[in-house]
Formats: sequence, C-alpha cells, structure tokens
Amino acid sequence: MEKILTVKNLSVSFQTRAGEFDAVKDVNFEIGKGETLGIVGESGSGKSVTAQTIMRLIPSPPSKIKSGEIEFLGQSLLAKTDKQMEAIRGKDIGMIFQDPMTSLNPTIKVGKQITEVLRKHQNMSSSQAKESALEMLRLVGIKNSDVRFNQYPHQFSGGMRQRAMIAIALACRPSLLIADEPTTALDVTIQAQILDLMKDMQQKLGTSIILITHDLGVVAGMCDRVVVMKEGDVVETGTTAEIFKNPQHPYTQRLLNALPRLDEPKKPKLASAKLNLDPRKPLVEVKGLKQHFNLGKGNILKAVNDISFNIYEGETLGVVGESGCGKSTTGRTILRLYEPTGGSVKFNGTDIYDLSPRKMKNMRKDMQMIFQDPYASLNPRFNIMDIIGESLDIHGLVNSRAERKKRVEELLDMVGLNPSHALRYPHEFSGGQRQRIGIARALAVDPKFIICDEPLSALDVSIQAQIVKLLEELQQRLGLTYLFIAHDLSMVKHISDRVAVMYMGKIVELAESEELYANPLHPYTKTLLSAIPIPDPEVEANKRRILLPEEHLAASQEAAATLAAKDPFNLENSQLIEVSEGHWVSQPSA
Amino acid sequence: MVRYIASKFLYMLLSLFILASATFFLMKAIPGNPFMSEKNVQPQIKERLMEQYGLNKPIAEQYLQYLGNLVKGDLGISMKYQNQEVSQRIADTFSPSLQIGIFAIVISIVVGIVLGLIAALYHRKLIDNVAMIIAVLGIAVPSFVLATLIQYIFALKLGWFDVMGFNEPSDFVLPVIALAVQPIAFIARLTRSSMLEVLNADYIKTAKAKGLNGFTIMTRHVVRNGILPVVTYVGPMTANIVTGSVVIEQIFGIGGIGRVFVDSITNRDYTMIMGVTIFYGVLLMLARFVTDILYVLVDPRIKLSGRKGS
Amino acid sequence: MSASGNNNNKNATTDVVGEPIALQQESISLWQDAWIRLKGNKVAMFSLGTLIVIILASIVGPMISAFNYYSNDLMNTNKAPSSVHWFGTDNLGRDMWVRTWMGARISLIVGLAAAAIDLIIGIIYGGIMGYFGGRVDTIMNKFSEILYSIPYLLVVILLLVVFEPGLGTIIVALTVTGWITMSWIVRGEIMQLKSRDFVLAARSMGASAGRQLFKHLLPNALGPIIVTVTLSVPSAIFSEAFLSFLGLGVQAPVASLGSMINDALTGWNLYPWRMWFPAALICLTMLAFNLLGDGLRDALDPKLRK
Repeated sequence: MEKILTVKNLSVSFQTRAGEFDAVKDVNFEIGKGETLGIVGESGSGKSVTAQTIMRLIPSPPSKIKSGEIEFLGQSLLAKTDKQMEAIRGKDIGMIFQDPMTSLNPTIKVGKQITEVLRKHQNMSSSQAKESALEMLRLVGIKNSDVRFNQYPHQFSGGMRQRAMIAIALACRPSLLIADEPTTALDVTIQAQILDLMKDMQQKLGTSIILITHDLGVVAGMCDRVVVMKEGDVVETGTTAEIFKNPQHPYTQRLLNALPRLDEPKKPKLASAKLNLDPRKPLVEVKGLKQHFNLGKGNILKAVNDISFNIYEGETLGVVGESGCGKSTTGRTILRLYEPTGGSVKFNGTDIYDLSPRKMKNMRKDMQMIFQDPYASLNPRFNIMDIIGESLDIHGLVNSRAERKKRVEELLDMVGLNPSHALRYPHEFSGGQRQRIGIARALAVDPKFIICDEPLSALDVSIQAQIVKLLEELQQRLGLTYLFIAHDLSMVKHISDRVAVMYMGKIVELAESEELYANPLHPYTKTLLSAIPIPDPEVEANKRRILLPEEHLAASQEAAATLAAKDPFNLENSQLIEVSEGHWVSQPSA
Repeated sequence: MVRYIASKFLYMLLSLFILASATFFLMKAIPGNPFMSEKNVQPQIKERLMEQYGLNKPIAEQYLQYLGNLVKGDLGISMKYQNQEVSQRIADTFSPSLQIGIFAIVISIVVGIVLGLIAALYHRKLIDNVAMIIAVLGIAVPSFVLATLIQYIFALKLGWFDVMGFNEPSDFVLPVIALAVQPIAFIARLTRSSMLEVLNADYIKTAKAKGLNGFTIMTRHVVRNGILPVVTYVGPMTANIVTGSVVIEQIFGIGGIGRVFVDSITNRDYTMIMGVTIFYGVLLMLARFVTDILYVLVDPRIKLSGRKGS
Repeated sequence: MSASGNNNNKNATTDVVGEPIALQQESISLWQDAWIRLKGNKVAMFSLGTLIVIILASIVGPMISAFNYYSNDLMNTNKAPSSVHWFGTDNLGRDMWVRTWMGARISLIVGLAAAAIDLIIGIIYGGIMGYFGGRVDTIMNKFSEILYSIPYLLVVILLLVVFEPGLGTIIVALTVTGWITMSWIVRGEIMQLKSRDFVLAARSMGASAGRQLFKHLLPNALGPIIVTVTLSVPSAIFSEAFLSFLGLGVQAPVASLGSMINDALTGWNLYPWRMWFPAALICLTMLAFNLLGDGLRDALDPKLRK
C-alpha cells in the first residue's frame, strides 16, 4: 500500500515549571492511502500532542521536538520552513478539533470560513470559491446550504458546526485528515452521524484519516489499524481486528476489559447484605412530575414534562438520554433542589413537596446525590474533612470534633481513600479520587437513596470501571437504592436493574435492562441503541444504524424548547403503555 | 434590532429624566434662596428677581415648567449674568471643548489599540513590559497632575507651546495629551488582555490548520475579535474625557464649557450648573447609546433581545 | 491541552486504589496558594510595601515635626525645602511636610472609607440579586443600570454643590453610585457559583440559605471582590482629588492632596515644590494600589493555578 505518512522515533517534550516533561516518547507509526488509523489513549497519553506535531501546530516554546522524523508523501515535515508548512496545512492535510462550539470564528460567516481556505490554496476567484464551498456544504449534509452559507456559527447546532468544520478541512481535497476527538463533545446520536459522514467522505475522496479518540467503540467501527498510547509511549500497534481479538499489552487488555459492552449480557447482581429490603416495595414514587422553566418572551422549556415511575427498594433505576432531555432536571426535582411545576414525589409514602422546610431538611438525610463533575462538586475552599463533615454538622449527627474526625476517616476508608489525607484540599486529588470524596460525602448521613447524576462522564474509562465497582459494592453492603442518570448506555445497562429512556422531557420507554436492550420498541430507543459504538470490529461492521433526521436530535436546552413545538414522536399526546410485563412504551393515545 | 434600539433609547430617556429631576430637586433643597448671598440687593429687586425666575410659584408648577422648557431646549437664564441664556452660553463655548474632546477620543482609540496590539504580539517580551508600564503609569497619574507637569516642562521650561490660551493649532497638543493618556492606558490594557485571550482560542488553531499565514490570521481572525471589547469602553471613555476637560480647560485657560462649569460652581450660579449638568448628561448618555448600538453591529453573537449577555 | 499538568514526579504516592497521584509534601489551601503566588510577584510586593510605608507615614509623619498643619507663619511663606521645613512652606507659611502627610491621611481616609462603604452596599445588594435571581434580580438590576448610566461625577458634583462640603459629604457623595460596580461583580460571581455542583450539594444536604451564602458562595467570590476593592480605593482617591481641585473637596484649613495641588497652582512656576510633593505622593499611592490590584488579580485567578 502506498504510504501517506510515516512517523519515526518522534519525541516531544514540554518545558513546565516543574521541569522538562516528555509528552511523546519515541513514537513510530505509518498510515497508507485511504486508510483510517486510530490513535487511542486516555487523557495525558500524548495522542493530541502527536497529532498537532504532525501539523506543526504546537507552539515552541514551551514544546520541543527532541528527535524523530515525520515523512509526508516523501517530504520531511519537520524540515519544512513555516512558510512551506502553510502551503501544506489545509491543502494536503486537513484537521478537525474536539469542540465544534469554539473551533469556528464566532464573528465570521460560516461560508466565508470555508471559502477562505479555498482561496488560499486553490487560487479561486470569489465566485468560484463560493460555488465550491456550497458544494462542500451539500456534501457534508447541510441542507439549505445557500442560506447556511451566510449564517454565523452561533446559528448552527453542535453537530452542524462539526459538519462545517469537516467541510473546511476537506475543502481542498487533502490526502490526509487528522480528526482530534471529533465527536467527544457531541451526543451519541450526533456522533453516529458525524462518524458516518467521515466514512462517506473518505469513500468519495479517498482521504486517509488519523482518528484520535479515547473511545474504543469509535475505533472499532472506524479504523483499519490502531495505535494504543499511554503516557507518551506507544504500547501496542496492530490491525483493529488483532487488537480487539488478541490484545498483547496488559494496558490494552485492561482498557478493553474495563469497557462495558452494550451487547454483553449483564452480570448477575450480588445479593444485598441487608435482608429487610423488599424489592416489591416502591421507595420512591414519582407521579406526573413536571418541571417547566420560563425562558422569557413566552418561551417555556418543558424540561420534565409529566413523567411517572417508581423506584423499588434496593434496585438501581437507570435514566438515559442525550443532553437536554431533562434527565438531570428530573434528578434534581426529585430531591426538591428545584420546586416542581406539578406532580408529586413520594418517598417511603410521604409526599416530599408537602413537607415544611424543617421536615424537608430531616428528609434530606435519607436522599443524597453524587454529582457529575468531580472538579465542580467540591467546594475548593474546604478541606476534605469539612466537605464530608458538613452534612454531619448540618444534621447534628456528631457530638464532638473527635467523633466527627472518626466518622470522616471511616467514610474515607469505605470509599477506598487514605484517611490520613483528610486535611488536604480538593485540588490536590485526581478526578477519580474526587469522585470518591463526593461519594463519601453522600454516604455521611447514612442515606437510603442516592441519585447518581452522570458520576462517570468526566472520568477516564479505567477509572469509570473502578467507580462503578465501588458503587455496586456500597449498594450491596449498605442496601442502597440508586437512581443512575447517564448518557452512556453501555455503562447504564450493566449497573441498572431497569432503565428508563428520556427524550424531550418525557419517558419514551422503560423496561428491565436486558429486555430494553434486547427488544427496544420505541423508534427513539432504537436510534439511540444503534448509535452506540460497540468495541468490537466485527459487530460494528455488520451493524445497521437507524438514523433520525438531525433536526429531531436536540442539541441544547434551548434547541429542545423550539424542537418541543415540533414534537417528532407526538409525545405530547402519548402515554406509557405496559406492552409486556414491566416493559412500558410511549404510544399515542387513540 | 429595532426593538433593541428602541428599548435602549427608552432607557436613555428614563435616565435623562431621572438626572433632570434629581438636578431640579437638589437645587430646590438648597437652604434659603439663591439671591440671599448677595447682601446689597434691595428687597424689591429681590422680589422682582424671584418673579423673573419663577421662584415664587409652587414647586410642582416650577417642576413641570422646568421639564417643559427642557424638552424645548430652554435651560433658563443665568443667575449671575442676568441677560444671558444658559443654552446660548453653552452654544457659544461648545466649540473648543468639542474640538479637543474629539481629538482626544480619536487619539485614545488609535494609540490605545496600537499599543495594546503590540504588547499582545510581543507578549512577555521587553516591548510588552514597557507598554504595560506606560499603561499603568497612565492610569495612576491623575489627568490634572499630568497636565500641570507637561505644562511645566514643555510650555514653561522648554517654551515649545503656549502656556495658556487656545488660539493656534499647537495649542491643541498639551490639552489633548493630558486628556488622552488615561483612556489610552485603559484601552491598551483592555486590548492586550482580550487579544491574548483570542490568540489562545480554538478558532485560531483552526485558522492555522487552514494554512493561513500569520498576517492573514492576525488581520482577519485575531484583531477583529480582539478589539471588540474596546467598543464597550467608548461610553465610559467619553465620560472620562468630558469630566477631565473640566479641569484641563481650567489649567490651560481654554474658554470651553468646562470653564463655564467651574465658574458657575464657584459663583453658585445654579441655573448654569443645572444647565451644564443636563447638557453633559445628554452628551454622555448619547455616547452610551451609540456604544450599545455599535456593539450589536460588530458582534453578531449578541442576541437582539434587548439584553446584553454578561 | 493534555500535555501539561499530568506531570507525575518521582516521589508520587500511590493510594489504595492504585491511582498514581502527586500529592505534595505540604497540604496548602487556595488562600495559602494565592499568598505564595503574590509573594513571588516582586512588583506587587513592592507596591504593598510602599502602601504600608505611606500609611505609616501619614500617621506618624505629622507627629515627628515641630509644626502643625494649620498655623500660619506669614514671615516664612513659600520657603523652599530646608532642614527646618523639610518640604518647604506654602503661601501662608504653613509647613508642607506636615500638610502633605495630613493631606495623604485625608486622601487615604476618603479612599478607604468610600471603598469600604461600596463593599458593604455592593455585597448586600449584589448578594441579594445573585442569590435570589428571577424577578427580584431583574428589577434591582435595571435600577442599578439606570443609576449607573447617569454620569457619576456629575451626580457627585451636584451633591457637593448642594450640601455642606466636608469629609463626610465627600465620602457619601462618592458612594452614591460607587457601589454599583461592586454589586455587579458580586452578583455575577454568586450567579455563576450558585449553579456550581458544590452549592447544589450543600443544598441537597439541607444547608440553610445563610450557610450557603457565607460558607460556600461568598468565600469563593472573595477573589474578584478583593481585587475590585483594591482598585476602587485609588479611583476614590482620584475622584476626591478631582473634586478638591474644583474647590468642592475638604474645606480649609484641612487639606487633602488634591486641594494642596489646587492651592499650589497659583504661583507654582515660582514655588514648584508646593506642587511636586503632594502630586508625587498621590501618583505613588495610586500607582501602588493599581499594581497591587493587578498582582492580586493574578494571584487569585483560579485559571492560572497549576
């Protein structure tokens, strides 16, 4: 196969205050014509630095290319002058970045941002460039391209912006496209569309692609060959099939094992240590819950729109959906962090919205929450002792400082942290450790029910697995009941007994988790499930995606508000019907 | 867009109304009447004066009449110089103040932006440090201190300019410098920090990935976004320069509105104080209004819902 | 960027779950961290030192001289600096050393008092806007916007024309609209912090409004508040000097730096020292406050923390 790019013995270091730091260590790989190469690794693995070094986009200083060679179509890229590099960037190598929200210039019309690259490299007149840019917009699947051409980025949704970025990167028909986490910031259904688009474009234009990602599922579906990186080193290289079937390096094996798979059967749950739990007794009963936000000027966002469900003692109910579907708002309203617009939530038979502030405060001991972002959920001015001890103070659960200290250390030990770190501050801990602190805080008051609001989405895969394991152990040991909110369906499947799928403030389907994945009934559930990349190249190759028009996929809360008016599934006039035992689906009422 | 402008305009009128009312009632709150201080005025004459200024009518009536006159642009008659209309006096003295003010504004914007751009481009280099030291000094030295200092050096000691007066083009130089230094310093700092932010933005990486050369990236992508915040400073800068001119005109002996204002304060010429206050108020609020509109024009992201995102 | 930050140094400890982390030997809070970074900023520390010297001198300076600030000595007017009168004398023969430090004292009192009042009103008003949000916020915010759009110095001048001039009047006049900026800073910070998960976490534990405000919101908003206060002191000092220059400041025989500069204007080409000492002192004070404010901004900025 004809080689497009060869990277040989590449080492890149950074000058930091703490001294020199090797970000990329002696990296080798190559990519052939029309091929897709995946570079996989967790944060800090040096994958992005490698990609940006190929483009020579890394500012130097602080970075330094210590050694190595990058050969592109027979020329050495590292030997090029800045001027010569300019002629290659955008023309022979295109690049797209992680966050489509910030990658486009907010004050320049989208069309002009595409023609700019054409005029630079193709010597086109402005009308030719416009013609070509419109063609490009159509090619990346943007409808009404002549209207879109004259719009600004903020008038595009996230998925459309990433399409526009692809149009820019491919406008000059480059031989190589570098995609740096191109779908990480997008919802899973939009991700599926962007990945399909990239494949489609590759077929049409014969472009080689370097796909940088942390998501092994994406790699399985997209890549011919894979490079696995860890802390600056390449630990393993091979064809996608080899890597997934027969990983050699322990790190690769660990990564693959850590990953929950949507198509794998759920492991049986350990029996709870608490014997007095009754799995038929509803601990939380949500009835007709509504949470509407007034956006001003007559726009009302129906974030949660008349939903009902029960959570039984000792179970884990998963709630999944994409951003803006109302899943987090549901969790917060159940805890009465927001006053509801309508409906009721009964906890152990008591309607919590009827409680006086004093009684509500008491009730809060029984219901706790674990938050998404372990960086934002801990007060940076408090030390760990005070963060975990705060609820003990509020509810007067300890009588002396010594008792408080003992209890906090006990909790730290319970979540697998070193109790001697109790006097340290949050910024001294890693993401996974902070999430453990958050869990310890929730456990401090000995709750019966915990809402886990996307507790994994900010963490690396290997850390995610550890946190899930901890949550499961705690549930078993303490007899906890969970409401587990997430957008990652594979993870939810494995931790939940039952799963509810939310879309635009409504529950569209609710079933036992095995049943839901084996036999999805609602069209949205089907779309969502088919969009999830499975870390198995064979499965991915044979998978058929069910696609919804992009306009139906709410990208943001405000988009959801306008979209709600369209209501593609006629949810406004639907209700949940039990079609088989325990399997509920939203169906239009006759 | 129309709604946005209309709402901004309404707010401007509301602010003006509040300023006018506050001015009126504050002046009424002064103990005694304005002619008490002039001891040798005979009671009959005083009576006649009170009559002439309408001071013996009920407050409510005076207030309505005052507002009515304001709308017509009639600011009343000076209490010190009884044959002089306030609006006429303002019109007569406006020209030198306006000329100096416009010069100072233009120079502030141009020099401030250029200084800020250079500092950002040579971030952490010598030029950056020098520019920022100048900027900090510019902010720390009060305009009237700077005015007396440059007057002392360049007019008195070196004799390059006239010490006082406002007759020839060279007389512009020192007052304009004295007025412009502080806004220059502010704009330079503002431009620099916003430029540094833009230089680190993701879309600049995109522009580089397109293969654009440094110059194009600068002119098309960086500078335009980098100087956006400067637009918001146009309003406060105008206020800064207008109030600054009050003392600068005093120091350089320029017969502008600032001079009239200071004189009227010294003489307790209340109608004149009120008149100039209202005039300044209109001027500055117009500047703010223009700023608001400019900002929408240059930044497509501002939602035209009548609120600026903060 | 993933490259920096994940720098595991050699003595990194490994905790029970096997996640390698670099915990420093010493545990430090964010305040300690900010103080360490401020100490590393030579310009800011020099400014802080300068301010301490100026404040001490304005207290001690007048005491160590044999003269007082109000006694005329018509035999010794407009004397140049000498071993008797260290800063010379003014047109009434008053000792400039004593007057300059007394003036600095007045200027500092005005600056600090105005900043303190702005701070109190700003925190209360801004805190209410930010914490309650919604309609309360809309109305209060519109009110402050309208008030702010009225040119500040014009209002102050009007007030001083109408009311008896004096130290108290000036401080009050300066704070009539001066608190608005502070209230906006507080409002913005509180609003942004309010939606942060750690505040939600406190609410989900049943923390009272007071606890949320004083334990979680305000301590985290304190950085920008401190910076704003530091920068509002010199702006109040400047405004006072400006008003004194118009003859609307403190009244004779009390002097502020601004009124001394104004007094010195008559005949200052002959007796320039009467101008230079107060002018230099006011510039130095404002410079020091501004540089200290910049340094604090850098030290307290969470984005810059490594």
